[in-house]
Amino acid sequence: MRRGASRFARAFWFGLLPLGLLLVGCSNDPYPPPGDEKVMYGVLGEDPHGLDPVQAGDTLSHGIISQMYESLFEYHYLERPYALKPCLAESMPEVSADGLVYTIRIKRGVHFQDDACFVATGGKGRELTAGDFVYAIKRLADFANKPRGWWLLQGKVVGLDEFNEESVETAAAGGKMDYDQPVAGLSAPDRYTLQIRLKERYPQLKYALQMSYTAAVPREAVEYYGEDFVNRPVGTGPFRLKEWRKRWKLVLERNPTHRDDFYPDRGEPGDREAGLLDAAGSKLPLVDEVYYTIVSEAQPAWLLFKQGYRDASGISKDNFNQAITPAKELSDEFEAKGIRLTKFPEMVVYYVAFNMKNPVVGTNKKLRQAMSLAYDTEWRIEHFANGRAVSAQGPIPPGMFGYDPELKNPYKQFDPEKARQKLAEAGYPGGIGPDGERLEITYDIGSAVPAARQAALVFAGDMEAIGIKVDIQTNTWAEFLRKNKDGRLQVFGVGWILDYPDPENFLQLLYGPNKAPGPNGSNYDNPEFNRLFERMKAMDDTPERLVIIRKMVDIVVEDAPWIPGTHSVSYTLHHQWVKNVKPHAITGGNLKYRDVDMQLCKRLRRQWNRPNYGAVGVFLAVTACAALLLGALRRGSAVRSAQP
Amino acid sequence: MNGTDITEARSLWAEAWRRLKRKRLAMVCLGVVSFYVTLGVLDFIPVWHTVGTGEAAVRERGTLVDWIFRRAVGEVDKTESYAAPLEGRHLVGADIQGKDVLYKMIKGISTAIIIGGLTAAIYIPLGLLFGIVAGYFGGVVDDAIVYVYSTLACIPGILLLIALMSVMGKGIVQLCIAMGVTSWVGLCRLIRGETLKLRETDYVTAAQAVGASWPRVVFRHILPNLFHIVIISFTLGFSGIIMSEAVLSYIGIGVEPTTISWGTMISEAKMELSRDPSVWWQLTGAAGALFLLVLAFNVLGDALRDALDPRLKTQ
Repeated sequence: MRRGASRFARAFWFGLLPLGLLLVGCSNDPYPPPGDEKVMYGVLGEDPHGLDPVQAGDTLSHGIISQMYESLFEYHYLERPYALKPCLAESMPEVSADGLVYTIRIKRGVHFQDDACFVATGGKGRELTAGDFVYAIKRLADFANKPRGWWLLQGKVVGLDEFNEESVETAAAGGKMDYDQPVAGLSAPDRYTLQIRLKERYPQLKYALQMSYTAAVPREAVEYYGEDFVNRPVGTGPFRLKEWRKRWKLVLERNPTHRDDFYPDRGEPGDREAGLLDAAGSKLPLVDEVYYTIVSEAQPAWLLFKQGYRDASGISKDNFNQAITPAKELSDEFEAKGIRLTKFPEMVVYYVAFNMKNPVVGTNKKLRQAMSLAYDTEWRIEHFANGRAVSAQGPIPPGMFGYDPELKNPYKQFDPEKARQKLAEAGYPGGIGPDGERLEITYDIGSAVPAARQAALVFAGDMEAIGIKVDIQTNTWAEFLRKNKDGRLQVFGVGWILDYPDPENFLQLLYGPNKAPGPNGSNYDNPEFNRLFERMKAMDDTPERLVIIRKMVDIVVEDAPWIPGTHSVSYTLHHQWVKNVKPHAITGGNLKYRDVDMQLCKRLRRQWNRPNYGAVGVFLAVTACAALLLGALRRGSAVRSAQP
Repeated sequence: MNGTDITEARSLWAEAWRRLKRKRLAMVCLGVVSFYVTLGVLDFIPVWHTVGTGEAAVRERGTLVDWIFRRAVGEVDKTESYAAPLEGRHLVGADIQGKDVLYKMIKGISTAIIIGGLTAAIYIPLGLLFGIVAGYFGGVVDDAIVYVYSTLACIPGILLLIALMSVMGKGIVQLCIAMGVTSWVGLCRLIRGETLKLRETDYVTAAQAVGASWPRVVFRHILPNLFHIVIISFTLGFSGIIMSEAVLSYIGIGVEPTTISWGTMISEAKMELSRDPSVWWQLTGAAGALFLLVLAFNVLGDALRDALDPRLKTQ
């Protein structure tokens, strides 16, 4: 008996007690203890695909790059409709009377962040000059840099296409482009003046000069870091990279040499009442650090938000009912925590594209129309978006010039019976082709996440209902792009997020010369549409332009190179300690305007994450009882075996 | 000599069966495995049905399971999305598309059987071939085979699987090839060791002394004495294969999305738990079906190992 007791005592002192103390002492705080600085906490679903501005093709990478690099222009943070203002430019561009020559003055006294690449100045950041933009635009045209945004300037700037063609040949020969060689349409007449000469009118150039693709890049950094430049950002932006540990965390810190950049003092009506102008005139950025944790799974990321360890979060379809009531308002639980909900229509279109070069779907308009009629958008909106989307009727989203709220695409009204009729007219009665075989199509998606797979299965179900068999292919995004480029896709699901507030940005997705590998992945090429596009793209937003856009949309509706899916509405949650939140549909580079109340943040986090001593006590008690019971059982069995 | 061999082999199996029958838990597990196999086999029985009407009507091949569920539950209806268990016509509930979860669980059995069977059909011959060759011939051949499998064993299995799947693409056949190629090492080691032992036995030496050729020695005297290892390895390995499929499908590189498997079901369902109200039936159904089969195979495998162990024969 004494032996048993001493065993239990040993187990208690050496096992249970330390375990209990460890559990009581443990905190669920995933971050290092905070100091006095203001820190914003976010989550990234994956690592950025490099931090080179010319490769900022996805929203996640762009969102990080745009905190560290700056372009000539930026969007006004508070004013609507979306309008540009100078960023690194001194003023908006001076455009010649024929619209072909853009002269842009650069701000004086702006410096790149301090970095070892500036050898000549002993690591001190050099002053920004117009030459940095000439260099950045040449980099965008250099095939060797794998630029994702070349389409923006392709065929636009005098001499730049030749530079691009030469770069393809040079890369094939294993050489490197000479960036000192002149490009006729790009020049820096003096240290602070940039001049761009265009081949034809291109009013969207100013938007292109806002995007990260054309951000100022110091040549010293590219040459100093070589291949590693993608991991070593050196910009003029409000933040600089402090630490990046792949698949763990990415931390940005305030750039101490950031230019004179101030919080806006003008906004929309209502902004002042909403407190959005409280920081007017404050030097940007308003926080000292941005701490991103990389969490690939949606559920842990959601729990981090609920625990207060993440400032903001979207809402996945499966968590929607936890946060939002059927009336589309915040649930009581979230309301009680002081969480705020922001809703705004995203400038985005999700669609199913047909490869018009494919002999089955590309040549059979009625087949495409039949498939469009069988596509149940309303069900998708309800089940995949929890009602947070509107059914797309054409390529242009609501809120954009050219959007027609009255448009009712006749092939976008879910009607399986009509779809079956159309399918029969297309030569596939009941889905059976002239050869007596069932029509089978391949549907590709650029992701293998469960939500994308479910959406693909629903597409297959819709098509199966009218007799078409669907083979689903899941791909990595890189595989998907490669297949698209090689014309190996037949039918595929994809989306487009607005780059700049001009309908041209959506309509160019269907412009013939933009065929794959350009942004026109469906390879749609209608001469009438192309002719109208060429007229429309250089026009201002006039009634005449509106008429042309409506004609173009009508052509697309009839030809059905896409099944327009949805335009989504974003629901974003923020904790109450985050200030100056105003959603922006275009740019991700807005963290410099955000502020946090760290005291409130720390207090609420402590309150929401108190150690649960009761649970620890119960756990220890149960473990102790189990140990005692086991001990008693073993003693009993030892006694039995010892008996003769 | 040969006659004696055959008699001994027969008696080994008979003795093993006798000992297995005495273990009640093992017999229950055998019953569970048989039940699964029966359900799985139902999904291989083709049933032809007519799709469409009039000129557009075609005869299409389905399976007996499809036919039973079409009769008992009816067609998939999207309006029954996430129907709860026993709600309406769905015994174990429905998924987001309104597809019956019980139907998916049973389809998952046939996928598991195909994957387990096809993978075994790849890795068992590979393991046997390399194990016997290495063990029987020894020398340089043995060194080369040991070098190859030691190198393979150094690469983490899941990474090798992911790499192979990335190269070959998704699909059941590709998955089985990838798992087959990465699973033979364990069996090969066992077979090699047993062959090394068997080639030194008196009856093998005697066969060689009377001039039996090496194929005769291998096929008549060594191979039959290795089958118990193959059976044990298959039984214990089968559950590992099914779980590997679940893991690979969970991370999105297993079977195609249109193939129903327990792995794709678990992958789909992982976020559904946090819905309000929680959708637990798809995850529970798939994980439960997987758990029961794996548990049954493991218990049966252990029992078979004991039953087929010649050292325990006289106990």
